[in-house]
Amino acid sequence: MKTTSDFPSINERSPDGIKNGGQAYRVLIVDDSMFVTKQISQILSSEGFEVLGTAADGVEGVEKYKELYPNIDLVTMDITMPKMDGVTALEHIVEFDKDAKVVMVSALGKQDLVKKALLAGAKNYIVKPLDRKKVLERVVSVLG
Amino acid sequence: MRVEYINPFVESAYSIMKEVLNTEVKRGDLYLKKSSQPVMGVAAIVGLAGDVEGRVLFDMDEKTAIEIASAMNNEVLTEIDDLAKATITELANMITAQAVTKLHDLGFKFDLTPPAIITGQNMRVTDMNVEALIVPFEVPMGKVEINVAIRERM
Amino acid sequence: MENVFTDSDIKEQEIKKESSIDFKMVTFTLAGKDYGIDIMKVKEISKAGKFTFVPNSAPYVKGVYNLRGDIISVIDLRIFFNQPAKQAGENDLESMIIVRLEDHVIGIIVDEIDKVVGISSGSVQPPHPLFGDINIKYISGIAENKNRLYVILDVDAIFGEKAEEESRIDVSIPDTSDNYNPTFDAEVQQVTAPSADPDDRSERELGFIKETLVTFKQFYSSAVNDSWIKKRYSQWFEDRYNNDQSIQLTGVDDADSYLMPFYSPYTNMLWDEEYINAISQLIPAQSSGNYNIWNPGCGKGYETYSVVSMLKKQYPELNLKVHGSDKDLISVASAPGLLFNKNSVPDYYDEFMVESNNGLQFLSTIKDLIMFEFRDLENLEVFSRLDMVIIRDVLSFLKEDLQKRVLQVILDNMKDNGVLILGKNEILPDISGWEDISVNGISAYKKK
Repeated sequence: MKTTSDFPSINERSPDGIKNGGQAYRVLIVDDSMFVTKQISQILSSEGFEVLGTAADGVEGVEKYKELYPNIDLVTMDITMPKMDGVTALEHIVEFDKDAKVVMVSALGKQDLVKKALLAGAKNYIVKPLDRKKVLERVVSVLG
Repeated sequence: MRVEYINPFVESAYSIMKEVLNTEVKRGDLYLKKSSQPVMGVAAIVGLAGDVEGRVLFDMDEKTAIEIASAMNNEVLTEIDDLAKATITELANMITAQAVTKLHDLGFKFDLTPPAIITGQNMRVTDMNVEALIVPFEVPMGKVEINVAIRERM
Repeated sequence: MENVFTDSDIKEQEIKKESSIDFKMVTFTLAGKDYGIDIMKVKEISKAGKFTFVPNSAPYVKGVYNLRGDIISVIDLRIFFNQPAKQAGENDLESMIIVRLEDHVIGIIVDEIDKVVGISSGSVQPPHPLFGDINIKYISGIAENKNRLYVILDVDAIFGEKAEEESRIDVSIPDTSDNYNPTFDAEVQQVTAPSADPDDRSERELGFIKETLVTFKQFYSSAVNDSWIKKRYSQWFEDRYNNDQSIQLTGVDDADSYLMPFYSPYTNMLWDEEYINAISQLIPAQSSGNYNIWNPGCGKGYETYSVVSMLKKQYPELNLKVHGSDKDLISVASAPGLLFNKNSVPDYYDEFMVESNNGLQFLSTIKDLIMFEFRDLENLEVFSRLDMVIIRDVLSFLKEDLQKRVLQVILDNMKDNGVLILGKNEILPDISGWEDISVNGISAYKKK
């Protein structure tokens, strides 16, 4: 007679944030809102991602990416920020590292803005308000 | 205010608040006012640019702000600290951005500027000499007034 | 009781006396009894629903209400008078009288607002001493009108500063049943022949009518429409007299009847060709360039579309820019997408319209020329130089000081030879700077 322990648990899966090798994906969060940074951080950490750094504007975002390179697996990038907006920061990062994986996170959802970001090298675009499921799905799809 | 601008703000405020606060949201009658007016205690302001100039002001009292920030963070906040401010600011940002996105689809090219937040008793916001549209909302945390003032670039 | 008149005595008095109405009150019912409040104290009446409960306030304080931006306290008069208030459903609208006290404004909820009644102030009886001190304090008096007894409340005494300082006072409803036999002068019909010349009494009657028009229709008399109001009064007087009806306006219906001939033609309709031709003849010949039109009070936009079509046909090269605005959000919000029934659109407009799923619409080439706005003239600001202003039947619904301000803004911003069109029965009070170019049925002026 089979008992529950004989069956492999169907629900068991590894957290989204852990690579096959067991290490965590490392993330850089760029957003001028403390609240959004906290929100994204909580969502990703809960799935095993490691938030390696945060930045509050585009300039700091590019700097931190360069500093932490090549240890950043994913960048989440806000668009409306002071000093340098997210799309410009994206362009700088992609210029620095053509393989950079940047996901835009913004409250603005204008078609042409999305297109512009994707053409500039963003791998995906998440429109706020954020929900856990949406964020994880998009991030996972980018990390492939 | 140009009539086409009205619905996007009203709808965005309603749908974002409903989604983000996960509660009943009731909307009062819209009305017009001279834009300079006292603020209830906490005001988040998002600037508008592009085809027009203007701003959207989100007005509420301190207690309501704290309760809304608590709900959005899923924790109990007790004062208007940096996190609470960032949270209210983000609410204002999301509502304005969604409205701007809708307006864009209607052919009106607006841009947003990063939001600011001001707190304090008996404050008055005296800005552009433009008539403002007031959209009053009521949520379990209290009253939230959305105050939109837009001037066409001639 | 003193001097009880017999029926025949009263009739005699009726015949001999002239109507001497010098006091008007807004009447209402509360727990089956009739009350009145001096109309001079009444700011407006309305039906309202969304009151905000205020904790720690007296039980009769229903809460606060947002009256177009001003927060006012609202008192439930039934609770104040210890009467069981009908439990209203959440979405029910309550009848509310907005009362102007010395320093502030409050709302009073009653069972049902009835009408405006005019009486002679001499006929108001002081409250009977049997009712006690409290009642004498709060009641101006008792009056009889058409077999109904009204208790006239002194709202200042009841709700003014002093009353607020004291804690809840028990006020019981005075008993106006059979024990009470007041003597009174009945409101009487005027017996002498109607005359077009205003005499003292007529002036007063007309004055009261003007007040009632404000209360029920927000129609303000001033130099803009005074001459029409007077002319209308003569007609009205004759009509009512011949039909044995009271001259005074006792409700919204009467006010509507009085105002019916006031309105301009083609209200809420596209102008027909004849009217368009009449108007276009008033406009000086245009060469190419900009032509700016301001159309406040545009409502659903019929007027605005009519003018644009007219000018587009006549001067296709003209660079038209039109601002239509209204305080009525629902109407003006529907203006950009206004749909028409094919059968009700004059042929004149055919070239400017296009079929859509739900009906006929104006072409976007026309719509793009018009900006419809939700605006309140109270918050007027400066704007571009104007070639034409169409403001029909709007000034008469603005308070006099606002009327003046709007006319000043128009005067300041109108280009030379610009055209101003008012309502059919409105005139410019101060004609300096303008040339009167009015023609039959169209009140128009050109800036010198």
